[in-house]
Amino acid sequence: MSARDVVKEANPAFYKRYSRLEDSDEFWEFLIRPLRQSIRVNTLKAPLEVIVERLREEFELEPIPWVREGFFINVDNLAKVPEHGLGLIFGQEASSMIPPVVLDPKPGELVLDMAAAPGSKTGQIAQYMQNEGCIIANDPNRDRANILMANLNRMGVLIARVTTRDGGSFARFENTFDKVLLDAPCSSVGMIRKSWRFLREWREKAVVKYMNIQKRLILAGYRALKPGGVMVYSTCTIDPLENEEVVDYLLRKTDARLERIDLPVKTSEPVLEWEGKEYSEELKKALRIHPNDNDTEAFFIAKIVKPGDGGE
Amino acid sequence: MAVSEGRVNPRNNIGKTSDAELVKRLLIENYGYAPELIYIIRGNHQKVYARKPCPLDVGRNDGWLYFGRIESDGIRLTIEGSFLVGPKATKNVIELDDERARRYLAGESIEVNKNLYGWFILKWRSYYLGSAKAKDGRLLNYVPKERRLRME
Repeated sequence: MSARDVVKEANPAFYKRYSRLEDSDEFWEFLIRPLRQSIRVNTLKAPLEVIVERLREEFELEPIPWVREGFFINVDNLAKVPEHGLGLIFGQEASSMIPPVVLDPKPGELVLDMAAAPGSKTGQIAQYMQNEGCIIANDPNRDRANILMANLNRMGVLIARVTTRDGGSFARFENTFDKVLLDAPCSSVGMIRKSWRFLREWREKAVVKYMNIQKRLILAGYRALKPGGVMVYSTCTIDPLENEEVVDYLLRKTDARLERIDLPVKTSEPVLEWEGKEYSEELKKALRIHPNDNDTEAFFIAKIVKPGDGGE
Repeated sequence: MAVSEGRVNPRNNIGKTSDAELVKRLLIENYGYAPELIYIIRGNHQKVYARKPCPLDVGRNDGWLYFGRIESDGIRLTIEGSFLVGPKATKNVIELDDERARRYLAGESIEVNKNLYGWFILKWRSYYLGSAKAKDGRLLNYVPKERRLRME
């Protein structure tokens, strides 16, 4: 049975919707193929070169082109790697390392991570900040926030404050944060490669539900961003309603602008027209990553800037 | 080197002096270096947590790093605590070879010079493996189960 038929059988509505988006055999094959194991080296605990040199004594590492600290590794279980228990490496999907790279946080900055659990991107942000500054890491779900805290602890993060608010409530911190990451809750099509249940349980109704949440959160995050600041909006899904539609909504409602992202990563064409609706040409600056582009999870990343000099 | 036996139990000082003052004093005594951080001691297990200051008040929040624990005869460091203290520690650091480091990471207590007693930071190459207690010629294992090395 071809991958296309497997998907069609598992969830016919899913197949019908996304064959309108991309219908190559390659797309369907990669959508259900298991992910390669990838790691991010945690430079909060030791220099990159030191960790990489030690790992290479035992494992094969293949650098991930778009993240200096990211590698594919030939191990089936990270518990067999000494550096994992010590918090010197962290299992993180290769495309999910892109949003913090695009955000480009600096030491001393004030950063908001609106939907932070389980914390791999928050740890990556702390690493770029060299544990100097402050990150407000939020997740409204108490159980997920506990996982977030455990992971930040293991990575040696000293600058995070973990909150469990509704993300929308950050709107009241108007013009406060140097950087904002909204890695939004989504229908997780990209995660099908990790767990089949994301395919089985996918419903179009959920896409619309997530889109409404995402629109509320992106407005709140943008409001909390300082003039001159950068906000990154990302999802691990491919639906235009959760990606281009949400960013287009922000562009129409506010003075937000998009900035081009210059990374060595293969991408698919952003969707500028979907279900009779046209989106801003600005969306061409966003990254739409399908599973077959780089053999990773699907991802969508937009770099948003708030006009102004951020003057004190 | 060793932490001296028979001195006052530092747990008796909790609450009598500021948490930061007590933690820093014990760190200096045990390892010769105390990072400049905010410290608190919480709960019945005298656990020490640390973090850096944040300029923004966001109301109720959490997110402390579990740094170590006040013991009856000194201060034990978690793996994270040892990475913060280890690079500048001036005493009570034991270097392990590859074989002993692996066994320790897998959860074993390992052999050590019989004359040592007290809390020591374990170092393996450029890494720090937390604190272990030297007693009766062994380094007692404190690697949490969920973080132990799987040896196939």
